[in-house]
Amino acid sequence: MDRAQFEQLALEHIDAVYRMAMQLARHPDEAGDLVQETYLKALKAADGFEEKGAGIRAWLFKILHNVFYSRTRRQKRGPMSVEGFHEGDDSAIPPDEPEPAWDLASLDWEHVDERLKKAIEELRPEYRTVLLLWGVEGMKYREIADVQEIPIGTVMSRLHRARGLLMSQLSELAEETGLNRS
Amino acid sequence: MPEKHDASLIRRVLDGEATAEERRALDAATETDAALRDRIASEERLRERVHAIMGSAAAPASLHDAIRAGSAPAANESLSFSAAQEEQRQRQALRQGGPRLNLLALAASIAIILGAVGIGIFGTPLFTGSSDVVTPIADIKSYIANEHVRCASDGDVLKQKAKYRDPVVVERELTLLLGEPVRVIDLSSAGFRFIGGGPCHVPPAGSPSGHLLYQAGNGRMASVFVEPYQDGVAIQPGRVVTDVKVGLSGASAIWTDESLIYMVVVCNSTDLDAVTRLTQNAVFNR
Repeated sequence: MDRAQFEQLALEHIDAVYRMAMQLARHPDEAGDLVQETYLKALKAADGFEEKGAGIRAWLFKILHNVFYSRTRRQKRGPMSVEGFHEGDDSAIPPDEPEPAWDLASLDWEHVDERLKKAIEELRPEYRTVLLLWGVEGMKYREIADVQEIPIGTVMSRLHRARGLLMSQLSELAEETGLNRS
Repeated sequence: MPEKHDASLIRRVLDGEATAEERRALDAATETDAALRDRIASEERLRERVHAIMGSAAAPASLHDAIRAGSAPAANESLSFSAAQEEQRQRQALRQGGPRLNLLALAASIAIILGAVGIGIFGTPLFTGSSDVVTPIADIKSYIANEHVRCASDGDVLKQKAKYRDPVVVERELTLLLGEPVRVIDLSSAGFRFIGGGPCHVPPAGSPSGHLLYQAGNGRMASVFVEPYQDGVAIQPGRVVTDVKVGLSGASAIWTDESLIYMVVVCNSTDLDAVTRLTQNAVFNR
């Protein structure tokens, strides 16, 4: 693959890289900075890229994560310290949430997006990024683990917790809107 | 399938991450369990909504343009200063086309290298070997210590070091400041790119000095400190005083051409020889 082809291929994923950068940086300017640095590094290292495994998109995500964590370590600021990212985290799946006594399927889903959006915003950054890679980018647990350089069990627990938290928000909404069956 | 429908199992099945046996068990359970079917439907809708909410953001067009503008490769990265200038031009194009480069990150990086050096100065002997060094070691030790303590502890000073990014501007400003010609040295063949430079003003207070800062992969940094040669600093012209142990992994070398004193500081001691050689070659036009 020559440089022009590589550049074209890499740029096809810029929206995905930007989305992830936004989840990490939480600010458009900083996200833009992260994306630029990611692409500079990727294009410089293009010769070393081998099109195998999870492909160029996962590779770009990995570079982005490294850039972000490097900056966070240096700046000692950001949404959460690198150390904080792993605080209280373990790879064990937490106890299951209680069986819902209401019918989530009957929620008016078109009207819950605002609530869901707010709930996503309030998630811990490491939950949001896993949620994004799973829900938007459609990545498998193994691929997410590789991108984030964390054990697959940690991916599963973070994703499970994130979904559980979002479902809890929706159950509250269901109760507020009188959909509770009991 | 567990009697109490296990959410983690349901999610793994829906994500295509469960075993065939687990999938079959869940399928069988859904035939008789309406609550489970609702639960599965809710999980599926949740993923759909997450995709809709989180997947709507797109990179601004200016970011596309900035990356395209900045991705044009230098013809040959080993080409002396032109390569450094080209890279600098690319980075400027990126900054103009898109968001700003984070100066704080740069200052923090500088603090890392200078901070590491400062620690090493007080923790280990300064010089090893080089029995023919004629410079009083105590003088140089004091000189380096003053410089780095001041640099590493003063945030404003750190920012000043990268005040200018354009090599042409750095050369112009430092030459004016120091009263001697200052060149931005191309270290690209050692893997370092120029990231900025500016005045330092230490040591001692009021004496002009400057820094040229470079960065390589893995966050490795190199700094070339310059200040006018002074009679009181008895560094033998042309002789490199090196093998200076600074911190666990940092290293430094110092010499003068009798117009300027040069001090190279690197985070990774394995970079010292190459950076020193390139800097000396440039200074002495070898």
